[in-house]
Amino acid sequence: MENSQDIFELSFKQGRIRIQRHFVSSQTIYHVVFSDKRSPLVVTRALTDNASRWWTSIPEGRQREAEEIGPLITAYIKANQL
Amino acid sequence: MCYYNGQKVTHAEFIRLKQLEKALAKYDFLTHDLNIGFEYGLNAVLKPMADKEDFDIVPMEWGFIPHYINNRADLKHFRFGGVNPKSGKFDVPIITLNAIGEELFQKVTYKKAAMESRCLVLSSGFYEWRHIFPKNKKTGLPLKTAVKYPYYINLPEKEYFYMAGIWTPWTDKNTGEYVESFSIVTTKANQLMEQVHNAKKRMPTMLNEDLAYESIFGKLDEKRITEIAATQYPAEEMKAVSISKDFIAALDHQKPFEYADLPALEVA
Repeated sequence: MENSQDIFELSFKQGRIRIQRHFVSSQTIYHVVFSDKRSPLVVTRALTDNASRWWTSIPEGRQREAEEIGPLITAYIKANQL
Repeated sequence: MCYYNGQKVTHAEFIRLKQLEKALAKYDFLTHDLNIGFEYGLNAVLKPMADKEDFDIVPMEWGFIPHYINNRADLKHFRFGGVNPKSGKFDVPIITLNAIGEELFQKVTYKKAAMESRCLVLSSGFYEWRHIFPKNKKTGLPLKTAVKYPYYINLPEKEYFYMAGIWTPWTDKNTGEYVESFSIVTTKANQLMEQVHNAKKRMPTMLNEDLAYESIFGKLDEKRITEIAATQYPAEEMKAVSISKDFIAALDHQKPFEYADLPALEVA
């Protein structure tokens, strides 16, 4: 059964985004659906070569959105102790 | 060192992200919240492998494409209808999104697939419209035009469940495009669905795990296939909630919405 905490909504710019957490190949990804017409986005946290964490899109190509939305997800997770 | 999205990452991290990309590409169609039949899009379907001992999850086009359709242009005419250029008459659309379970072997289009190519359609829930006829304020008699209320139906204890399906391979004779398409098998509505889908009193044939596996792996005769196709899922394990009339455009398609003028369903 799906955990309701795995789905949440956040404000993003002028609209809302609906985020769903999934586990794919034993890794956590976040599927983001926008309230406007743009395509859904998948983001995940990754490691740079100097061991710092950053948000990235899967597949490549939507890095700016990943970097904007990722920190919102982090804040939500921390606030809700998920 | 490698780069992913412009960031310098280790070789191991690059491989991890690329593998994740590959895995997501395979399951991308599972993340759709809403598949609308008349858009004839891709859905996740369990298709038995040739040895009939294991299955693969593959994307298939919803809307069974009969073998006699030659190309995409003919398919569009088949699905949406229009003036026939040869006869000049209007051809009505032919809808193959659903196949009536009790009649699988009476329909030329579905007969072969029902015997040889059964599949399971993965679903997390589905939508149906309930028709309510308001009463005339003067006469007290029901009006002729119904008000339609959408419902979301699911199994609260299961993230995904199986619907019986039949599938068929198809190749566009002009372009060579290969497509596998399917139809969802339907049965008579159970006690809950009789109230929700009260215009047609039908529901998808939802199968528990035993019946689902028997359906795709079993060596079955017409009688048993028809029996399984007519299965009614227990109403007490299902949940139906009214949702907003603009649910298709909503961010959360399944968000419950209460209507003041909508009578409650009788609990199964």
